[in-house]
Amino acid sequence: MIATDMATVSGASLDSDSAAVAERRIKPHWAALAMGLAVCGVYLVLPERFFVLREVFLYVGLELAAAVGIVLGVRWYRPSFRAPWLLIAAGWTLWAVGDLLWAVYELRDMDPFPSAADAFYVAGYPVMATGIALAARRRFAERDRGALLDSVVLTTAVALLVWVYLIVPLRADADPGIWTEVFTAAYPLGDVLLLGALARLLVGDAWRVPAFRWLTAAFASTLLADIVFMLDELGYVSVDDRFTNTLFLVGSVLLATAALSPSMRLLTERVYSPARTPGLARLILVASAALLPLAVVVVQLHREEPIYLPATVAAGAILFGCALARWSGLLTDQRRTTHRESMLRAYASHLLVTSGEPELLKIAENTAAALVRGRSARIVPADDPVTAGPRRFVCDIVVRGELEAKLVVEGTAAEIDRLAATLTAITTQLDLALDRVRLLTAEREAATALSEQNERLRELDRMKDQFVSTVSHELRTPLTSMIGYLELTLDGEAGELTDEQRQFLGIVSRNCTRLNRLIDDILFVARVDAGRLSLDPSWVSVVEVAWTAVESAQAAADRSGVELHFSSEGELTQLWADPTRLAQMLDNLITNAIKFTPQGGAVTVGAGQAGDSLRLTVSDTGVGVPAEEIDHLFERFFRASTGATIRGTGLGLSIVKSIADVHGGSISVSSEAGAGTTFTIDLPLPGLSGAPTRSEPTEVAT
Amino acid sequence: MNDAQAVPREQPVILAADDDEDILALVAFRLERSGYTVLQARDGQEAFELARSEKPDLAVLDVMMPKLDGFELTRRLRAEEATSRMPIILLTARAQDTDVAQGFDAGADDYLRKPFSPQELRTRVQAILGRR
Repeated sequence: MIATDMATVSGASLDSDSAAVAERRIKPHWAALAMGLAVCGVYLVLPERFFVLREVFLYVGLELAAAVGIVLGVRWYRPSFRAPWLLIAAGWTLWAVGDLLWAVYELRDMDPFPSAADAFYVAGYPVMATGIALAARRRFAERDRGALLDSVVLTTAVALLVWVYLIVPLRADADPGIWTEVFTAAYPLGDVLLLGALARLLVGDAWRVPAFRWLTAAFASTLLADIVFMLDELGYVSVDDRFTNTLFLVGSVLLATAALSPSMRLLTERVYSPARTPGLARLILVASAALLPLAVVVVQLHREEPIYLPATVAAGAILFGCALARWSGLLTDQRRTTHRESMLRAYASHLLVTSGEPELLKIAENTAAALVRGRSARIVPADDPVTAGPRRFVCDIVVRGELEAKLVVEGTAAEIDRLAATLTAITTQLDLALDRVRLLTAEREAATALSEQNERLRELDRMKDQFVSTVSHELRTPLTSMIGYLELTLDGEAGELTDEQRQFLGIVSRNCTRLNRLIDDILFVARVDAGRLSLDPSWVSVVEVAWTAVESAQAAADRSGVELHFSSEGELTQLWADPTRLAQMLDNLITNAIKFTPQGGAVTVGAGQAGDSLRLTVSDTGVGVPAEEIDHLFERFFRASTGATIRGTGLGLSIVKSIADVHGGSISVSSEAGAGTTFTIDLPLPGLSGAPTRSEPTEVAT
Repeated sequence: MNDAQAVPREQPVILAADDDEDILALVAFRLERSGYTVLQARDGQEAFELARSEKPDLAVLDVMMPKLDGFELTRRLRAEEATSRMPIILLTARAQDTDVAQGFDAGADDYLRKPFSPQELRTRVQAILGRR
């Protein structure tokens, strides 16, 4: 009946895959649990007269249904490793067959011992224990000696209890005969076997898998029923067979629940690096188990019964051995951890101070080799077809997403398991170190390239300076001859000239002078650009400089028919400045003003003090500068549109500005097109930086 | 001016040195017309030897000359017993003030920037020689 129900449940979902099952509203394992427990209830209350229905259809049927449930679970959830589940199903089926045979004996009023039913029963234990042991083996890929020892401790303790309180009394109770004795002892031993296998899973981290909890509950229920049954046989307790059997049945239901729960596939999944440090619960469990021999001795002495010295001593010895092994294992782990950590620290600091890639690879190789105690550790090229295996660790060395090489370490499977995490850490650190070295190299190369480029630019600059200076010399030499001979000719040294000849040669001479002036300007600008405008400062009377400039421009002003005025206000302080440059600046401004002022106009040069500055002004009544061009006035080669017909290079005002700038001064222009322009230069007092204290009182030019 | 040529012995002797033939001729022409005897040298070395052997009354030296530049030549002439007090006017095509300072450091009495006015050269020569 239950089998049919299970089939119905399965039939509905056989065509869908495991994912669909997982999303089902009613989870199959809950359905199985509910229905199974309902059947258990029916079994418990069904009157004795429905023997066949109860013992055959319900009991054996439910057992077989559990086996079918396991097979269905395996089909739906497709665990990567099916053997454990299938072995459990097989063991359970063996038990079902035993129960079926037992029902047959009951019906025929027979009670043979040992019988064929016992053979099936006993065979079920090792089959299932093997299944569970396989699951544990599969689950814990890394060999965890500690967990193994802990499970041995637990099993030994249970075995001692079973020996003292079940096997010995049962044997004493049983009829003589070798088979009787063997089978009598086989049941409790089978229980111990199952418990031992479960204990290994338990001390691992299987407890967090729900399916494992269901599985543990199933076997606990079954083993409890087993033990209660045996205790009942011995007369320690008196429990109705009906209850014991129901407990067995509940075990079946829980087993199906475990197999149908979606987490069943996790039970046989590999767990990498489980927590190696035992938790407190495990510690208490193992410690109490270790105390059991002592407890047994105390209880037996108290009850004035034999203490079964060989068994107790044997158990004690096993427990002692386990404790010893466990302790030494912990110490070894500790030592290895310390060694590994110190090695990793040394490795990390070694990586940091190394800058060559081959050296870095060598360090990683050596460290890995030292960790596996001199066994093969090497770094192979990225295209090496080497693959990882149980005895071979392979980890990619990746720098910025590029596979660079592989670290290959060979050793025993245990070593590889134990060191995998450390070797991965070594590789990761190597990745980072390689990345760092490359960054550094790139940075260094960039810096070198930059400084080379700088040097080249500086060289070019020197060449440019050299060129400008050579060109100016080469230009001046012919000009010297031209100007000199023209002067001689004009002076009449080569005979008298006609008026026309004099006029024409005068034009040539004037243009030679212009050309010379242009060369001066270009040289000046080149020097400003090179930042090599040398200043020769002294205490300067600005009035004197301005007066001199006005005087030397007088001739040009007269030629142009422009009036030239000079005015100074008050007594002016002396300025720490380069007089030659100041003169050049004023000369440029005045010449400029005269050039742009039509005949009959006036140019006025003024000197005065404005706050902390000396103020020089040059005003004209000339053509003026359009407002939108004022901003460009001091740019090189800029020529105002209003002066398009007037000769010039456009360098003069930029030179004026450069000179004002090097003196820390400022220059401004106000202009009205057609009405005139005023240039204002403010030079801060006391002048250039580094001005010495004046040793003499201010001298004012008269 | 021309009357001075009649008594060559009495004329002051001026050493002119420039590697440019035209400029050298210009200096020589101007000064000879002004009544001086001019010794011409086309490089610094030649100028140095002429100065030592002829002991001129004044030297007009170009700065940029092959073999021996004007500064170095001035320095050497100052170091020679015979020419240590001879007035020297430097002709420089370089306009930098540092060059001028260098010239005075080397021991020059005056300098003229190229291009120069022949009249001004004559004036300066006359001024220096008149001073004595």
